[in-house]
Amino acid sequence: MADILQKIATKLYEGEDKEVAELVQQALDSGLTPKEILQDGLIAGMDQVGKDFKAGDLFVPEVLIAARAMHAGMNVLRPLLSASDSPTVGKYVIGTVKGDLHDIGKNLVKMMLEGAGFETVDLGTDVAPEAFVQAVREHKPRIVGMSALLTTTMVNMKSTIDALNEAGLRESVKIMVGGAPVTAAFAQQIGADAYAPDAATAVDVARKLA
Amino acid sequence: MTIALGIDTGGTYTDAVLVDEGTGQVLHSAKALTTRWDLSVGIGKAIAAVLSQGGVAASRVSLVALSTTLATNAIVEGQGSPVCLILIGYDRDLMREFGFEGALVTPDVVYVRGGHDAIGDEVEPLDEQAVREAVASRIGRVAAFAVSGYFAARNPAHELRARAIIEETTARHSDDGRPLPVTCGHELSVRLNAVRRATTAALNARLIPLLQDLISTVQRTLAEQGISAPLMVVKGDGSLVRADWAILRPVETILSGPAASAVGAWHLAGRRDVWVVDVGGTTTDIAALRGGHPRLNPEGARVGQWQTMVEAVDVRTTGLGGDSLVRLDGERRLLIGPGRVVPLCLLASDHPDVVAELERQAAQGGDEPWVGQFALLQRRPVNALADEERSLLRSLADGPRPVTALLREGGYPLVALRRLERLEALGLVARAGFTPTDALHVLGRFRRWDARASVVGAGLLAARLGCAAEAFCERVVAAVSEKVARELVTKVLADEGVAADWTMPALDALFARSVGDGNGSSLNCRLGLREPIVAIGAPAAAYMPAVADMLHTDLIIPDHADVANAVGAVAGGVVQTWRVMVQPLPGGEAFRVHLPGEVRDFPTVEDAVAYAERTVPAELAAAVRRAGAADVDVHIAREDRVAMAQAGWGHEVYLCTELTFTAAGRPSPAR
Repeated sequence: MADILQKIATKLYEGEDKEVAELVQQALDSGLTPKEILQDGLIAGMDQVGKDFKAGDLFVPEVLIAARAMHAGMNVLRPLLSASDSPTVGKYVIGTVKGDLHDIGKNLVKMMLEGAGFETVDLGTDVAPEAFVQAVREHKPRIVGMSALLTTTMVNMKSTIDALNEAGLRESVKIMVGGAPVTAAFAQQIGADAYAPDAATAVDVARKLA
Repeated sequence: MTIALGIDTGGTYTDAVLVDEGTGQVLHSAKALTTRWDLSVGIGKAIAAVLSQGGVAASRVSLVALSTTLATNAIVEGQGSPVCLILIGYDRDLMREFGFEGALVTPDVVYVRGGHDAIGDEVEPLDEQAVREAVASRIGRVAAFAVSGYFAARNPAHELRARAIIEETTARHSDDGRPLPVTCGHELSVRLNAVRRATTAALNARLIPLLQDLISTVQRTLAEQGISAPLMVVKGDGSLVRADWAILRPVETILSGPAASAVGAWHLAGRRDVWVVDVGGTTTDIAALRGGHPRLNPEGARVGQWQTMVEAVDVRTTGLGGDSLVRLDGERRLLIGPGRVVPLCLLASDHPDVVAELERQAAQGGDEPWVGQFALLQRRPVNALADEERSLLRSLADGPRPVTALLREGGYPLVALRRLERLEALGLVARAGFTPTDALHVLGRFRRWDARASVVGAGLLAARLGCAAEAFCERVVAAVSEKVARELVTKVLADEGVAADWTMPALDALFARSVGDGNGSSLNCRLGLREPIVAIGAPAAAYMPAVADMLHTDLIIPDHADVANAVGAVAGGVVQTWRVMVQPLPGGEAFRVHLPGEVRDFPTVEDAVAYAERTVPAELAAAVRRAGAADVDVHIAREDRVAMAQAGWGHEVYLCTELTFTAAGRPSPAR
């Protein structure tokens, strides 16, 4: 029984999306609960991906492929997971700030967060400050994550925090920022709660904030 | 020689002092009881007392400054006039979902379209017709309007336009052609948080008629005394403004008492970096003085249930003072405060027969919590009361009566007790009981009133603990000192961003080992406060030496410490601060400067800064002169907020420039 969970984790790590989906179905047929499969198969595999990515043994394309496999497995499980089964750590609203169309890093963080049990709301790219405010209003997340890949759009992270301040919502969420040009000092200057240099660290930081 | 008259209305006393403006010397001081239901009565008595006592000719008074609890009390007690709050460009659904509508102070709120975004661009044009209709339908129903626009801190255009419409409409409908007062949020704060700016604006509007009444009464009183000097009011940051200016910004006078006490401590003690502890009759206030200025709360003052955006002195107030009620709980633990009562010694000096009643209770014994307490009539009721409440009031008509007797007559004791407490809350009845002031009378450290009542009252409580009256009183005094020390430590930690949770056993034990005899502990604890303490307030000398010992620091109790607040009222300067921000527009091709009344774009940051530095000082200096200053000095502080991008990503990232213009002057003698 435990073999199949180990197999799911390994295939996920290798990015075999079709095989992961099939294995998840087999695991269900053999009587394992959706929660066991999620926790000890999919999330266990994704955790290893995060560790190796952080250590420099894996690179972005490999992580993306692994995340795709995670999704394939989740698609099988999702209808079967009841609200109490899904081990949601907290809601996380994520997006790339206004004027910026980069999404690879943002997607990576999102997938890793989902792998870690966060429920994510992806606002996409080129997200205006007001759209972040509306998303906080609608979804009432624990954390808001912003990504920027250009020095010219980094300033829109500040505009977004300004907008949350003006709406009176700043104290109801934690704010994380990231993206290649972003630094911890910058995060502090604009009044964000945290900065993460890469997707794996983002998950660690988010766990602490949640 | 010109003389300044300083007045402070505190929780218990209204103080008045005459200060030589040339030397800063306190010439005379006097006290009168604060008359909460109409502050001007106590103010008038204190002024008359200080003038007659000093034999000073009224004509020599060249400045009058008032620090008043009116705004703070009115906010806490929910008093004020009906006002309409107009919100421009606010998201009503968001306000409702997050419970922000409860922060709007008034139930009369109108949402209209309009508002700006973070860079000050218009999101939607102002719906002028909606403003006009809202105002027209409220003629005769409200005393003032408050206006707050979304991102008005970045562009006040819609607030200013709405004000013009309100003034025009209300002037047309008024008998004398004068418009109703209008408060705009951006005038009170340019910080971001639309909800708190709305709270602040609405509170301000609601207070205008109240402060107006007080100011005109005080001005009448001054005229009657022959004083023609200008009247100024202390703000919550310790600075002064002319009365006619203060009337428009009453919310800025919240916490003016603690602010004046910090300024007075600086003036009297001559030290610039100290902890100021003001032990009053009702409360103990702790504030930090840094560089000669009270440290302000950057988050904005919280008063009662409201979080405002008023930058006032960051004071910690505790319900502990000379007139705090001393009692024992069911487990015979000593409790002091937070309720304030009339000390037994003071009661007995007006009503000597309470001593006999106390002796009778002592002979009888008894361990109800209210043994040794009395109730006395304060003033006639103005509101409708229940029959039982009226009969309770009638029974007090001939003088104070023991609480035990009132509860016996009132049916179920707890119901009767609640009735008494309600009348106390309405200010109709006051409770008298044993207080730290009584303990000082018993110990002979303070002799103003009838110590016999204090002695018997102490005996009543001491008997329940099985100790002598003197030993009990020593315990009370030591407990007050320890409580003040604990509050001071709590305040220091809070200023350093740490919340002191005294329910944590380890923290409590370490503190007890540090300030006490150590309980035989092996731990040698010692807490040291780096800065000295300046103690003010009438009973400071009785309690503060022990506090300074516990915290191993120096103690300064200046002369006239008992009237430091009133001294602080006249020692403040006239100060106004404007904040201006420059930020990049999208694309980074242009920079926008956000000025108090307008926004303007420039090709470079330096052009924008230069424009602000060219135009703001003259406007600000004019404003501070209108606020009552002479010899105005304008100071500019610039902070560029820049952060480096990650190595390899090129240049630094420019966020914004914040310019702080501060204009200060001495109070002008011109009316």
